[in-house]
Amino acid sequence: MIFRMFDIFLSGLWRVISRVPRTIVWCAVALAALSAVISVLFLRLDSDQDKLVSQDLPYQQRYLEVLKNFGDQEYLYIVIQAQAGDTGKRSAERFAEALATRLKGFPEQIQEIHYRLAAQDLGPGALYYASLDEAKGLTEMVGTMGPLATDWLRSGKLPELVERVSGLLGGGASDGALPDPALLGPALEGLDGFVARIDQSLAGVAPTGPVFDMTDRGVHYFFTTNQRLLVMRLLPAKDYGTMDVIAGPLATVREALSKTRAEFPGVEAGLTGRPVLQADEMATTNLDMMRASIISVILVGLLFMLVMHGWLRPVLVIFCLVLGMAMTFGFTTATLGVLNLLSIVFALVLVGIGVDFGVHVVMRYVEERKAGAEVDEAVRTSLMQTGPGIILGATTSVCAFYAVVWSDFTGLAELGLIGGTGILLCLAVMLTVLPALLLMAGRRNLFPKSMPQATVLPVFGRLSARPGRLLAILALVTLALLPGLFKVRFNYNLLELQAKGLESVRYEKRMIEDSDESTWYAVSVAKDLEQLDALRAQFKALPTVGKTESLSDYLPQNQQSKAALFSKAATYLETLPLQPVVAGPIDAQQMLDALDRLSVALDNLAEKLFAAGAGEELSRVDALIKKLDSAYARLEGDPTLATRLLPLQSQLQTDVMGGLRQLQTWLGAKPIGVGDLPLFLRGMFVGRDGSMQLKLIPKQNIWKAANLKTFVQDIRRVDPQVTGVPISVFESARLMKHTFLYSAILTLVLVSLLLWASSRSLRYILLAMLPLSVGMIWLLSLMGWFGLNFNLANFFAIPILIAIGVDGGVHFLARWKELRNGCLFETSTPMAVALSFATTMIGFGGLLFAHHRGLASLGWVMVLGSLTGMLSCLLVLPAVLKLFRYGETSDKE
Amino acid sequence: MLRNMLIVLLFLVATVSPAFCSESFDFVIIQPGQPGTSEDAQPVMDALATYLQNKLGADVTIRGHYFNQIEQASAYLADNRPKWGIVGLGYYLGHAGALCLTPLASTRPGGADSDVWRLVVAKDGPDKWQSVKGAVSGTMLFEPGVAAGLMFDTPVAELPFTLEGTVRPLRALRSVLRGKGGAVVLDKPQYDAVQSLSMASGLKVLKTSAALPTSAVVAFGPLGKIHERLRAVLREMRNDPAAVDLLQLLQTEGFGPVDKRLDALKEKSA
Repeated sequence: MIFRMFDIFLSGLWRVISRVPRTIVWCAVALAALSAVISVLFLRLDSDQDKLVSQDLPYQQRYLEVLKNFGDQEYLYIVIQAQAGDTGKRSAERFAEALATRLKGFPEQIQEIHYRLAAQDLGPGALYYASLDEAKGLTEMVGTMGPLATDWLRSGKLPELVERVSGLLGGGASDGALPDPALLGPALEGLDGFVARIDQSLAGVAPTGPVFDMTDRGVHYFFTTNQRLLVMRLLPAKDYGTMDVIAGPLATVREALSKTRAEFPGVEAGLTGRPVLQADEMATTNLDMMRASIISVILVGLLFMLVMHGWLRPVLVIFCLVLGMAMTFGFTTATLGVLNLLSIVFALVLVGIGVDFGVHVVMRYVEERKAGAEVDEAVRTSLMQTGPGIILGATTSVCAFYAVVWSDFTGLAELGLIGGTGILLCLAVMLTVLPALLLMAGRRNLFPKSMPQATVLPVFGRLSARPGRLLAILALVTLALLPGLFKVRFNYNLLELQAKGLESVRYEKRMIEDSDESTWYAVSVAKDLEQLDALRAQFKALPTVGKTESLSDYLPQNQQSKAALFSKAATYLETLPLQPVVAGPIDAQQMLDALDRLSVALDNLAEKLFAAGAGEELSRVDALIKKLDSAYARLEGDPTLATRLLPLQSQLQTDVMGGLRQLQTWLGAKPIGVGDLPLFLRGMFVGRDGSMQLKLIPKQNIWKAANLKTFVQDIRRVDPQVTGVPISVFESARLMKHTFLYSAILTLVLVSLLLWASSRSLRYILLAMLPLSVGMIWLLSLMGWFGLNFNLANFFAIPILIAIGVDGGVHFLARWKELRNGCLFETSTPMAVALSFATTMIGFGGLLFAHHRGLASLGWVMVLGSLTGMLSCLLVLPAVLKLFRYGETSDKE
Repeated sequence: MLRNMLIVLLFLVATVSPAFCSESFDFVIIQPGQPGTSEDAQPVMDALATYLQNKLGADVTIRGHYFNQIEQASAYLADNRPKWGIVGLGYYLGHAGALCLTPLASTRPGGADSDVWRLVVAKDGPDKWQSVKGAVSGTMLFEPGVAAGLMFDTPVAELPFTLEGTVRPLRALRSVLRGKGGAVVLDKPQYDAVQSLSMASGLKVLKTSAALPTSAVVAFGPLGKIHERLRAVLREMRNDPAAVDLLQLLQTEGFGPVDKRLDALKEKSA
C-alpha cells in the first residue's frame, strides 16, 4: 500500500522534474540562499550550559533560582602549589599578589579576585576573627608591649626603642625559650625592615614610607587545610553569544599567569574550574571537529571520485547536501532562532546521513547508464527504484531524531528537531534537485564518457554463495566475541572525557587529590542565621561532606568572651599620648650600645635556632646580624651620622602611634553581626531576598559517579531542596542516559511500526532489522574486548546507528524484491549501502585522532558500529535471504 | 557510739578515697646543651602535660619539667621520681643503669629516625681528627666519656683534645672559623642548619659518627600499663592535627618505635 503511494508520488515528481529541471534547481538555490541570509542575520548561538535542560524541571528551577538570588559564582580557580616550609608559602603568596596585580588591570574581564583576607577587609571588628586562645595571647601581648610602646612614645628616642626590641628578644640576660614558631617569621620580617632602615639611613639612603605598616598585617591567604595549595578564585565576565563564553577573560588570565610564572620560575601554578574545563573542552572539541571534518571531506571526496568516477557526480551530491544544510539552518532560524551546544553538531549528522540518499540515487543512475539506458530513463529508474527505499530509510532516521523531541533535555530535543527536519530537507533535495541536476548534466553530456567500474561488490556475492556455511562461521565468530558484550559499562565521569594533559584537568585532579577544596559544590539555602547554623551542623555530620562554607564561617565565635578580653587589653593603651613628642637629637654612643645589645639578643636567638636545626630562620637571623654589624660599623666610624637617623626616628614615632591607634580601634569594636560583615562576603552568601546560602564541598572525588550519587543522596536527606552543580550534573547525566535509552527504544518501536505499515509482514520487519541486531551485538562485543565503555559523549551514537543500520536492510530488501533473482551483488545497491556506511565511518573516523577523549570514543563507537553494521548488511542479510529463499527461489550467483 | 561512728568514717574513707586519688605520671625532659631554661620551657611542658592528660584520662595526673643542665636534672631526680621522660642519647647511655631507664619510644627530630655527629673544623685546619688540638665543643659533649666512645671509639683520656659541652655551639663554630678553637661536633639538625649559612663554605668535616639513635622516650623504673597507653598516644601524635603545634615546639615530627641500637650502645658504654 505504502509502496504504491510512493510509486504514485514519485511518478508525479518525475513528471515535474523531467519537464522543469532548471526551475527546480533555481527554486532550491533561491530557498537555500534565503535560508542562509536569514540564518546569518538572525540565528544566534547560546552556549549557556544551564539552558541545555528544561527550565521546568524542579531541580533546574531551584538551580536557576539560586543563580538569580545569589548571582553567578562560577569561578576560575588558580591553584598555586606551595613548597614545604614558610619560604614556600611566602613564594606562593608573592605569586598570588603579582598575579592579582596583573589581573586587576582588566576589571571588565575579571570581575572579582579572591585569594586573601586582610584585617582591614574585615573592618573594625577584625580582631574578633582571632581564636579565643589567640585573643588571650593578644591581650597578654598588649599587656606587655602596650605600656612599653606607650612609654617609649613619651620619649620617642630611637636608641631606647632598639633597647626595648632587644629586651623583647631576650636581651642577652637570659637564654630564653625558643620563640613561638608561628610568631617568629613575622617578627623577623618586621625586624629586618627596621634594621635595614637604620643601616640605609646611616648610609644616607633614606627610603620613604612607613617602617611598620599595620595595613599590611593580619593578611590571611586562602591556603587549603594542608597548606599545600593556595587557591585564588576569579569571577570572569561571561558572553553567552560566543562558543567558549569566557574566551577573553581566559586568554587574559592565561597571559597573566604565563608572565607571573616567568617572574617566579620556582613556583608551579595552573588554572582550572568548571568554566575553564568547559572552555578547554570547547576549544579541543572545536579543533578536533575541524580536523575531523577536513580529513573526512578529503577522504569522502576521494572515495566518491573513485566509486562515482570523475568529479562532477560527487560535486552534485555535495552541492545538494549543502542546499539541504542551508535550508536546515533556515528552518532552525525560523522555528527556534537559536543553536545550543548540542544542536550545533547537526551539520555532522547531515553529512553522515543526508549524503547517503544522494549516493543511492547516483549509484543507481550510474548502474542504469552502464546498462545502456538513456539519461532520462536512467534518472527516472534511479528515482523510481531507489526512491521508496530512500524515503523509508530516511523516515527511520527521522524517527530516531524525532524520538527525543519531547525530552526534558532541551539541548537534545532541539538537536532531534533540527536533525530530523534536516534529514527530511536533505531527502527532499536529493529526490528533486539531484535528479534534476543529473538530468541537466547528462543531457549536456557533462559526465565522463567512460563508466565507473567499482560499482559492484562481487566478492561478497561469492562469499554468500554458500549461505549456510557463511552463517555458521559468522555464528561461531559471534559466539567467540560474545563474552565481551558483558564487559561494557556506562562511565559517567566527565573528567575522563577531557583531553589528556590539559592543564585544567591536571589541576582539577590535583585539587581533588591534594586538598579539601573542590570546584564543584552543592548549595543549601537557609531563611535565617539560626536555620543556617542548624543545617550546617547537620551537613557537617555527613561522611560525604568535606567542609561547608557559609556566612557563619565569617561570624566569629565566643564574641562576648573576646569582647571582655579586648576591653581589658584596651585599658593598657589608655595612656597613649595624643601627639608624638619632639624626641630631639640622637646620642651616637647610646645608639651604638643599643645596637650592640640587639646584636647579642639576635645572637642568642641564632643559637636557639641552630640547636633546633631551623636553618631557614637561622639564615634570616644571620643576615639580620650582618645588617646590624654594618650599621654599627658605619656609626662607630663616624658618630656624626647619628643625625641621619632623625627622620627615621620621627617616622617610627608616627608608625607606632598609628599602629597603637589602629589597635585601640580594633580593641574597642563591638561584636560583629551579619550586617557588619564586609560587603563582598555578604554579596557572596546573602541572597537578594535575604536568604543565606550554605556551600557544601564534597569529601570524595565526585567526578566519579558512585561518589557523586552517594553525596547527592546524603545531602538530600538533610535538605531535599539542595541544589548546585553536583545536583545538576547528577540529574542531567541521568536524564541524558534515560533520554538516550528512551529514544533508542522509541526509535526501534517507530521503525518497526513503519516497516509493518510498509510491508504488513513480520518476516519483513525481522529481516530489515537483522543487520542492525547482529551489527549491534558485534559492536557491543568488540567494545567490551577493546575496553571501550559507553559515556555521555558516545551514547549519542546508538540512535544514529539504529537509523543507518535499518536503512541498509531496507535498501537490500527493496532491491532483492525488485530483482527476484538473488543477484544482489551484481547490482549497485550493495556498493551504495557500503558507501553509505563508509561515508559515516570516514565522517566520524576523523574523531579517532581527537584529543578530547569523549569525542574520540564517539568516533570509535561510530566507526566500529558502522563497520559491524556494514559487514552485517553485506554478509548476514543476503545469506539469510538466500537460505530462506526470501521472495524468489532461483539463485544464479 | 563514738566507736561505731569512727568505724563508719574509716569505712567511708577507705571506700571513697580511691575514687578521688589519681596516679601521678610526671615526666622530665633532659636535653643537656639545648637552649632555654626550665622556666622558659615550662609552658611547653604544661602544654604536653595537658595534651597527654586529655588522652590518658583523669585517672592520672601529669606534670612535666625541663632540664638542659645535668646538675639541675640530678638535683631534681634526687628528690623526685618521675615516671617517664625524654632524654638525650648521651644522658641515656650515661645514666640508664643508675636511673633504671627503659626505652619506650624514639623521637623524630626533623623527621629523621637517626642522628649523625660530625666533627667540623675550619677549612684550613687539620686534615685528620687525630691532629686536632685544644678543645672540641658540642651540645652532646656534656657526657664526655659516652661521647668519646660514640664519636671516636676511643676512651676520652686517650684523645689528643678535650671534650667540652656547650650551650652555644654557633658561637663555638664562629670561634673555630676565626682560628680560636679546636673543633666543634655538630648533630644532624645543627649540621643541616649550618648549610644555610654562608659560613658553611669555610668548614670541613673531619669525622662522621655511625648512625646514632635519636633522643629516647624512657620509663623511669619498671614499665606499667600506663606506659603502654603513653606509647600508643605518642605514636599517634603525628596523625593528630591537635598535636601539630606541640610537636613543633618539642622539635620532633612525631614518635617512633624503640630504637634497637640503644641496647647495643648501652652494653658497649657499660
